[in-house]
Amino acid sequence: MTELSPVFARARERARYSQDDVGAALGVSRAMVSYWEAGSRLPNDRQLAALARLYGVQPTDLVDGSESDPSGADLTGMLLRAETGVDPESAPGVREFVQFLERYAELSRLTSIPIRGLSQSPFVYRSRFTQKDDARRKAEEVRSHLDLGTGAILDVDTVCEMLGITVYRAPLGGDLTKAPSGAFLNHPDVGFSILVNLDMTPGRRRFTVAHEIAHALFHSSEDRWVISQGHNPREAFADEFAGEFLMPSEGVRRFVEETGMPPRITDAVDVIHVQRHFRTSFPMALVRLRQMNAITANTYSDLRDGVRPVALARALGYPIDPEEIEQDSERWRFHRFPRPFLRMLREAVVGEVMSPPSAASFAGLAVPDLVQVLGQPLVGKEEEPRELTTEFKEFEETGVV
Amino acid sequence: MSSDQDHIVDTVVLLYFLLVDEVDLLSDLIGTPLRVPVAVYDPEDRSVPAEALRHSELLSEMHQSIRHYEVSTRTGSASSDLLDRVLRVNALYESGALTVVEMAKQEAILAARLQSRSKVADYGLRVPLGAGEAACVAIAWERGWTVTTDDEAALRVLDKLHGDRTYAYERIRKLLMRAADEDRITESSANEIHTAMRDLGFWDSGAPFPDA
Repeated sequence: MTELSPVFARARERARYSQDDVGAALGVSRAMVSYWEAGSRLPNDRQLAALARLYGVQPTDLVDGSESDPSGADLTGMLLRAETGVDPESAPGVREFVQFLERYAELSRLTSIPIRGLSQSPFVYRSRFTQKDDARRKAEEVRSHLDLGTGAILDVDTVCEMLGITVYRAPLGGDLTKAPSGAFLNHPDVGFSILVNLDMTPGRRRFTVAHEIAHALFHSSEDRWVISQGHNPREAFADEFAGEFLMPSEGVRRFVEETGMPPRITDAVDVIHVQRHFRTSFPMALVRLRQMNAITANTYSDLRDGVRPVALARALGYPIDPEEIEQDSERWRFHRFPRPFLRMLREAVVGEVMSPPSAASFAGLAVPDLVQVLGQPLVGKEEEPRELTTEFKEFEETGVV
Repeated sequence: MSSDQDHIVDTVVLLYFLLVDEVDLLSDLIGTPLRVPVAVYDPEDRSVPAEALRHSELLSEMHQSIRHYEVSTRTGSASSDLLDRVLRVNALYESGALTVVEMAKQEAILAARLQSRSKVADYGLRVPLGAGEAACVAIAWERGWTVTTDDEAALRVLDKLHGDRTYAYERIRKLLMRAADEDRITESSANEIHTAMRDLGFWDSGAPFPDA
């Protein structure tokens, strides 16, 4: 296959990878990638399949020299083009996002299950909306639209499902001075889609989902995609929106009042209670309380630098997600997918559109990953109803029903 | 014991026999060494550096499974016993009880077609095979080896390739039934092994000996 060596180089260049990137991804040296492309060595069978997956091309393209466009090449190129300033370290995660969306659309076609994706915002937005109050009003409007009231949002992914927004997670890099926290893309087949950087704390990831919801609902009429990075009026709008959406002023005030906290909070313990109730990061909780004038500037300064929020939360008895201490994107390898995609994948397996090994390969998972993410045995086992029946009987015998 | 006929083993069969700690039974049934394609087990990817782990879907299928159980053990969702059992694949390779089969050019071309969306309809599929299954089918077809797989899609391709002619294949349930028939294990042990595999996610709905 040495005559095919130029194909390797062209496929890599079209996917916008350097030889270093490819070497790092496949666990070989840059020199080895260079040998493959020069035709002096050949990748083994596993490496060949991996190259096809990495470049988003079909394996036949690399073996018989035919060259199709990489999956989602135009969208990936659009997101990565130079003026967006996407850091090279973040580029693989952005590619992975677009390739996932292409697969999701393909899975929908294969299963004939439609993706109920939003592609046009039901909310009005005008570009003159740049004031903080505009963003807050819009957050209230979205909450009202979803009947969310003013309480804590337990699961932002469910909110996205309700809105018809697809959420995917991928590592984009931990240095947020260079790496984006997330991105929004209006995909032609999937609709509004959000990418969240996994290399952030759980609280920050939730904030990013809310931030990207703002881009989806209020900036999609102007732009098909947004990379969330840096400072500009739109980013400020999305930040304000996310703050009010996750910690609505009225809901925070009510919580402070009902839990007997003083109107002016001075104790870090109270901030932790607010943070944990609304499931945000400690910095976000502190900033929101300051924005609401529930803490003074001095208290803000004192608490900003003088608190170890995870240790304090643990001491107060709150369960601690290990990722609050150290991000573990590998752990998310199984859970990076949106639930509607996993339900569709399960339907594909149960409906025998795909065999389990094919489904695992399709999603880029190992077979045990697939078994885990689909959550239940793939065929043959029925849920044992005994436990619940006993519990129901216990209730019913008390005469409450 | 050496094999009467050459076999090629896919990931699911190897993985589940390892997970229930019965890989020796598998070797007894189909002969040693166990032969797998590089896509199933690549000794080179054991030393993949940490920066590559973000792309673990690019590793061989057995190494991906190892990564799964490493993470599951770390997060407490699986016991370390399962990881130890899957890791035994490395020892099998080191001892020569498992060998890796490189594909010849024609096999690589067929395997690539079976993994390519635009080509799989020619083989009666709607969705491409995974790299391991595609390699097993290609090797079995080109060399006339017995394929040991529990992937319906892979067997469908072999049906298509062979047409009316019969071909040799093994599946987990069939292997366990043979093990009992050859008095290597009892029928109830066969059922227990099968149940243990199903408890770990293996999707076969029947049992080797429903009446045992």
